Amino acid sequence: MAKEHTVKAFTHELELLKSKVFDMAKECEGQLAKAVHSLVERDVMLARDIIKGDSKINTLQSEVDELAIRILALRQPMALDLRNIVAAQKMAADFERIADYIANIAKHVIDLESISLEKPIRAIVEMANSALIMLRDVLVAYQKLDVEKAVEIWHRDKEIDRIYFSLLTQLRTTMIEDATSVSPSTTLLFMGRCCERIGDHITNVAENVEYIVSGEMYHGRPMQLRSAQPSNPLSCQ
Amino acid sequence: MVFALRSKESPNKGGEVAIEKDLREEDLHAATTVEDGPVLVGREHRQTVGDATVENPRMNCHDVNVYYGDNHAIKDVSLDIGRNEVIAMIGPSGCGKSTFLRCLNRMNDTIEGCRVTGEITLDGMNIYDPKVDVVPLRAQVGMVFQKPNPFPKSIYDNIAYGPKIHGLVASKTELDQVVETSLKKAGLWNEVKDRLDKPGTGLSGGQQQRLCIARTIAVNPEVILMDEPCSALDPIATAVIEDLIHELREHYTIVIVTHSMQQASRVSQRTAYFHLGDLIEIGPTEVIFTNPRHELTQDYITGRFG
Repeated sequence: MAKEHTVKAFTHELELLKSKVFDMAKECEGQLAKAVHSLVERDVMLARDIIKGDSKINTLQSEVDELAIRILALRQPMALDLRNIVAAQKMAADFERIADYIANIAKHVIDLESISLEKPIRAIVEMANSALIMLRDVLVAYQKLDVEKAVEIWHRDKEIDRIYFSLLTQLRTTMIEDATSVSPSTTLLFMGRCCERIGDHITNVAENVEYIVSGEMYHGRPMQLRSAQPSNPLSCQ
Repeated sequence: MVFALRSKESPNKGGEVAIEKDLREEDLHAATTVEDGPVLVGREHRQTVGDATVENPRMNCHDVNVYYGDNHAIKDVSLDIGRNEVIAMIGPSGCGKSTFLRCLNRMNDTIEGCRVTGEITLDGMNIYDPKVDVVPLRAQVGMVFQKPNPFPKSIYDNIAYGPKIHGLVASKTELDQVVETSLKKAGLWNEVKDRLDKPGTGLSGGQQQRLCIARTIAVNPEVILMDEPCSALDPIATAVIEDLIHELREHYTIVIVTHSMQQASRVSQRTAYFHLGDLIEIGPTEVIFTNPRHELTQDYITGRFG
């Protein structure tokens, strides 16, 4: 059990940093939930809301960066504290990217009105939904510093990759069969790709939870399961 | 030993099997969750964590105990000191780091009521053997103190004194050579070469400390012990000494006691953390400062002590 620092202001700064990263994650979660809803309902107004909401997450990321640099410069943190700060900064960068991808998805919700490819749209909704659940869970894993859970979430990304792979195959076939479907298909491809990338960034967050606890860096190698990993041709790490 | 301890206590190992199985939510929660950060060796454990041995050590300390009268100041400390390494000893005041340092050249002999047990060897020779003469021993294992303490003599004589009394030189030319080389190695030559006949006490604090290091080097030591060598110096003089320590490492083994964790992390390759007479943790400096294995080490280096 980590005690409080002798310099209490240091403890407060670290708590503030963590809470800011949480705020970012919460914002992302809200944005992604809206995105899923707007996809299902083809709700263009909601999609516009999402696009507007992205700037708030960018602002939060700058705040996390500033605070982290300030603590690094003024407190010379070591060990657990150092790992918490480094991880907070990296996670903030991941959440910022996740929010960008969500905004990208939202930008194309308006196009869905003219797209009649229901099956691929369902696949995108499914991916976005899985990402949303992963995002919710990784927040809990970070809050509790629960490595078991982080590892389990890390492996869930494979499901998103699997859906993305089948989406890709599906859309390729559609494009070959019908030249007029190229434009809507590439739009859907782009949206699918955004979901797939969100999943990857969530795995980064999960890796950082492990890093805070154990001090071990993963650098893209599979968490815990270090053997018998099928090579994934679509791995975008 | 560390890893054995960790794997036993760490909930995140062996996750492989669990993931391959169909994981149920409650299984996940039944597994120990870590609420407060890394799984560390608890504060109540006082055995040394980390590998205290090195291959082909310069000095080897085995089960060293030090008593000041009834006060048990060092408890069963075993530690190897490697060749051409800088090893830093850190810990709160009264943890025994300076006491342990003084064991390494028998400086504790001069303290009344102080008793040392266990074995300390220098290149295989037991330095506490009654047949060992402490005078040449202290040349082999030299010491630099917290406050620069040059002799009230000229700069030249400060350096020349040791080689003369130890009979290391045969002629004045040779002595001149030793003085020059030692001052050069200590990075002081250019600053003092034109005033070697001036008193050593007239130099600045940082220069005096380098003079003391030069004086230690002049008698061909194998190990240099430094007890808070920079605590009386300003940051620039400190940086110069730290740079010097880095260069000296090529030829000597250096053991440094410091209250500055930043200094320990800057100059050393291995770090030892002492707590109330116990050697709590020893390991590569970067590991100690980024990922310590013992709660007491973590408390200390992250500023959670006391």
